[in-house]
Amino acid sequence: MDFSDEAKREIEKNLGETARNISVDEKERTEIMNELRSTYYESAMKEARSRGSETVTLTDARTAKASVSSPRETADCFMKSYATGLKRAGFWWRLAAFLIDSTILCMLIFLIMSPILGFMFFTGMPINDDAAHEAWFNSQSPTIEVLFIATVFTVLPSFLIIILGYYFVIEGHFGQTPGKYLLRLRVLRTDGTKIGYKEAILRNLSKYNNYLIIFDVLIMLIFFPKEKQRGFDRIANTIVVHSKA
Amino acid sequence: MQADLEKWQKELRKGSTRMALLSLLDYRDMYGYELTGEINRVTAGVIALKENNAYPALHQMEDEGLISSYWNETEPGMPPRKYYSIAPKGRAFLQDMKAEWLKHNEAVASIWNYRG
Repeated sequence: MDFSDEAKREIEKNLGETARNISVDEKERTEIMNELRSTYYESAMKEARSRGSETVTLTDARTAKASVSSPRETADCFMKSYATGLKRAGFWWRLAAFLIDSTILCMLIFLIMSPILGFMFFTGMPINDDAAHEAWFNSQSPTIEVLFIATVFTVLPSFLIIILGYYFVIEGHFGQTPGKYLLRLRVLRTDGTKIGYKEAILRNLSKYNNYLIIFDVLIMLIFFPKEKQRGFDRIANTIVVHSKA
Repeated sequence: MQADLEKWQKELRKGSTRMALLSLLDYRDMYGYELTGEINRVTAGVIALKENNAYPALHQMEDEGLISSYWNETEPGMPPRKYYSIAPKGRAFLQDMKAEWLKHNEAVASIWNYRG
């Protein structure tokens, strides 16, 4: 049986859609993908043979896709089937992940701020005294002034992107932050399916306010010790689990 | 009415997924796509099992030791197939399920025939 390149690409596209919505270990994911790949190929081959051909075309691959369950549906069903065996992660694990993430974030921020910090250091800019600061600024050549302002305006947006992107984008896309990855923790919807950006944004809002996050964690410890959900986890409908070893 | 019936059918199907899969594997080793196709064919679509329900069930049964699996090459140009075979534990479980199913059927019949 021959498969046209277009047909193969179509099949891999379907597999990619499933893979993106399955949040499991690499080994299990590979196993599922290989099994589904074989299924799509078998189904497409059947389509080609039913019209008396030994070459699978893009149309065959598309008809095959329609005849088996949708990639998203398959991914969700797999995730739901793991839901009963999930072990939710408690306070200490999550605190540890948060501390790792905070350390990484601090380092990233320092890295991004380093052009400004370096500038201030090498030009001897006074920072504690407002009057001295202004006098210093006025004494500089226009080139230096423009350069400094340009640096600040490049650094600040990157600063915002890093701060917001870290939890919203990384967790929304991968279902875990680097800290959670290191400790083998994963964020899922309560039904066991993979979270998206919406959930990541909602559940992480409280992390950007020092008082709110403490209050949020207290809500978990006092009201939801069994569910192991922060207040914002309840709002976002999410849980944090230990991934399968 | 139609929606209600469909919802109930879905639950019925859920309850018979494992039994259907194990019954076929009790006859011979099969791969996932073959299993769903055969179940649809022999039941004339009454038990219409789709991949999204069948595959997670197969993986779960494998985890529980009811079935085992192996990869086998097929014809050139095709990716290898994942075959499943029933384990002794699965065979015993199937027998128990069948017995329960029959008992349940008889019980349902006596309810239908209820005359006080």
